[in-house]
Amino acid sequence: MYYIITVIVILIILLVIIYNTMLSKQNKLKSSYSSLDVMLKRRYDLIPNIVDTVKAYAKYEQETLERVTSLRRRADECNNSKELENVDREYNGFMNEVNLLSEQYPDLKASENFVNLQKVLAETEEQISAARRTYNAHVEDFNTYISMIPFNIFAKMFKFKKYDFFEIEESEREVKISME
Amino acid sequence: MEENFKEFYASYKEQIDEFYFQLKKAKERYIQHSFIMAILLCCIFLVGTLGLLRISVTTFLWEIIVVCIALFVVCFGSVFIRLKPVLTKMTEKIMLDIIKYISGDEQAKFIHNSMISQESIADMELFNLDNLKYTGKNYIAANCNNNAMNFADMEIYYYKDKIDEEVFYDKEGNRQVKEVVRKVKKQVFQGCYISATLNKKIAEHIYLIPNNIGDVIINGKLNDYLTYKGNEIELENLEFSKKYKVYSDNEIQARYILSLSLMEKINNIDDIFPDKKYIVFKEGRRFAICVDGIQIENLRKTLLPLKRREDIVEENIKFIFKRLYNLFDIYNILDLGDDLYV
Repeated sequence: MYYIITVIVILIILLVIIYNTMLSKQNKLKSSYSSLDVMLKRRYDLIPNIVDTVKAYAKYEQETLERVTSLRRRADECNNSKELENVDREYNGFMNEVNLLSEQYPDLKASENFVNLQKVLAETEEQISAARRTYNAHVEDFNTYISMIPFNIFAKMFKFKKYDFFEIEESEREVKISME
Repeated sequence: MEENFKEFYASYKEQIDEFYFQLKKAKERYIQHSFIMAILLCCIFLVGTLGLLRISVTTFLWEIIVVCIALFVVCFGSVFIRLKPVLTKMTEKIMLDIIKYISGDEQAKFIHNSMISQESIADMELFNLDNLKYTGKNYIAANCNNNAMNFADMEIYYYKDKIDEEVFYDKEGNRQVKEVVRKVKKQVFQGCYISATLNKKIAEHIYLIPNNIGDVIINGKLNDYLTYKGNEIELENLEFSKKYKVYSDNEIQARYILSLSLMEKINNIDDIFPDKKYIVFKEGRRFAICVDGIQIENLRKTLLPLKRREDIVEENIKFIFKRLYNLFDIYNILDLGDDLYV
């Protein structure tokens, strides 16, 4: 009887430790997700400035501008990494267009506003990349932990689920703010 | 590097001629001084021995000759000792000229007796100066394409009490043993301090501690020697992670600074500085690298030969050039000229 109680106590302690570890890893992951979210939103906050600068120097379709302006609102409404990824993809497409446009309009490319904006964007992009790497590192750590035996059993028991990585497609990796 | 050296050396030949002209003049002057000094000493010796002590010349002829020859040898030998500071000054001038050539900064400084300020070391917040002492020399400051770079030899050490047994005899002649506490110098770091401006703004301190620190820190805790703080961060580059442990309070900031490309570039520093390196990214835009085992003092000791021999002169200057070039190459390896995000 004494042995059974000891084993049960040890098992309970182990369960508590495993649960706390999972929770701590999940919290770290959530915290890194919110940092990534904040940085992405900071980037979308720059959209009105980009639109204003582009409008001043180049002809641009009103429809596209409206679509891009709505990105900021949609970014605010995102709840998970998949939705954020979609908005991010659309934003990258827009930035590609802006870069192409700056090639066509030398005045736009040479404008001080545009150059400064590019610097801010380039720095923001690097910070987003760092936040994305941090988030993905935590996702990997958490997913690996809850996949290992015997933690996978407890993960199911406590209803911990795997998280998706925040991925960018190969073509989008090449999207860079031209500084030349 | 080879081409740069050839270009530098070709333009520096006149300066070397000038050095050897000055050296020749100094050599002639010192030989004259030594000759007069030897004659004077011999005269004093002869007056003392023959005149005052009335020693017979015939009896002690060989002894007198030997003493006179010895005096001449000592006086002429001192010429080489007196020429060493001249050669050292020449090397210092060569080093400064190389620094100016590599950095392109005519205002570049090389001061043998100066060291990186205590404040700079304290500002790095890496070495625990509450427990450790610091000394240094050979301070170099140069603006490499507007990037203010500093280099200096640095030694970080502490004194440890060592208890020895000392044997003595008391008044009654009995053998006694007492314990004596001696201070023994223990070195934590001896190498070169390099600091420069980074092309990104940093909000927190980030510390890169070499993984093989264990052989320096034999006794005591790491925090007795280093004041790094923050959580350990696992980064994606395996080669980098094998070499360094990264500590910072802000993981995203650390990943922002240590981008995939910068990690690769830091790995590349190993090609020129394979020994232990401590790297600190400070708040603001400065960062510092402390490279173990590299000594600017070794370059200062690379003297030109007394008698001009082109091959040795070229070899020695090339040695100095290569080492200084490697120090400044940090600028190229880390792409410090790239100020996109500043």
